[in-house]
Amino acid sequence: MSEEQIVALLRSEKYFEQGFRALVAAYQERLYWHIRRMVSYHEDADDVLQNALIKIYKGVSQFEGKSKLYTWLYRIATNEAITFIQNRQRRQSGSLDASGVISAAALQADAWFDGDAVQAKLQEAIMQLPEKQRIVFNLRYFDEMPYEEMAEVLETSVGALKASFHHATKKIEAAFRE
Amino acid sequence: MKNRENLEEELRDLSPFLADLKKQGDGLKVPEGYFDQFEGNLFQKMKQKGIQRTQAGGTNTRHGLRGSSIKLRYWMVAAACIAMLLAAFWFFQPARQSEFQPMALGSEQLAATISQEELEAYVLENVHEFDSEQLASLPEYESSGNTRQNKELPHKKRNPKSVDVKSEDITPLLDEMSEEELEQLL
Repeated sequence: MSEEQIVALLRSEKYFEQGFRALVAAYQERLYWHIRRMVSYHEDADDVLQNALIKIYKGVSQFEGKSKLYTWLYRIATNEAITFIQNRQRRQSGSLDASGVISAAALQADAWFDGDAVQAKLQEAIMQLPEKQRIVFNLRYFDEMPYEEMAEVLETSVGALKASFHHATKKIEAAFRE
Repeated sequence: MKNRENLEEELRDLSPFLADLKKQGDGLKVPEGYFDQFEGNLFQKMKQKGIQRTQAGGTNTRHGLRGSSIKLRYWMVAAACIAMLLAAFWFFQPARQSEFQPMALGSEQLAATISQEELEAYVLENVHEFDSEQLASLPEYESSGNTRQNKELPHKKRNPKSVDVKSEDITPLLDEMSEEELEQLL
């Protein structure tokens, strides 16, 4: 089902539920991976995705249709993931690792990670990036999102996004050289 | 497709190492059948929590899919408020106040704006409303009764029933009136 068809169903009082189910079916996987790369663990990503979709369900009437539904959903999912990470950092503030960064070793011990040491190191390096650079890097590198769409999601300029991506790649390369 | 080519090109320029690493994937995986069950789990959670969507026109729907009609309503309210403000401004503006100034004038100022002829015509037309003693005591009636004799009287028939004056009160007044005036009054 196309985005336009989903929006048309969501506009209809009668077919709203059907439209929302279509939305979930169409975007759950993309949104999940976007969130998962931000929060690292599957269980966390599952919680964040459910919460994000509940917010979308409750507030979909706030979608004006000025941007693509897809970018609006990404924006909500991104905000939900950021809030989750900030809360996790607050919870960990008393522990040794207050940065909220999940180490490569911890990631490799996770049941839902089957990558090698290099892939774990990549995830760790991404986690060490500043928040905005981390989001930009994930959206560009893994989700392959065009800069124009990213600009809509993150409400920033294409130039700033390109600069963020450039800095992020250089920092990750540097992390591997250490 | 073009975007992917652009990305690959961009990555090659920025970091050939990361461009190669991308082909390996991220190493993250999900439980089997996770996405198939996700929708069911989500709706179950929503049911348990009693989640209800924000209805259009509700408190939290200032913008939205149905926001255009709500926006229109806001514009109509705003337009009505502006119209009321403009009407209030027009009503109370200084130019309007000047129109009401005669109402606020004192009796002397008011009298100055009315000609002698108009005054006399009014008094004669509404003579039944005046106290005859008061009329009789007016200096004009005492000293310049002759000036009134030359004035034209309104050619309206008076209703005798509406005149509520006692005969003893009217006698001195009648004595001072000319026959022509009496004829016209009667």
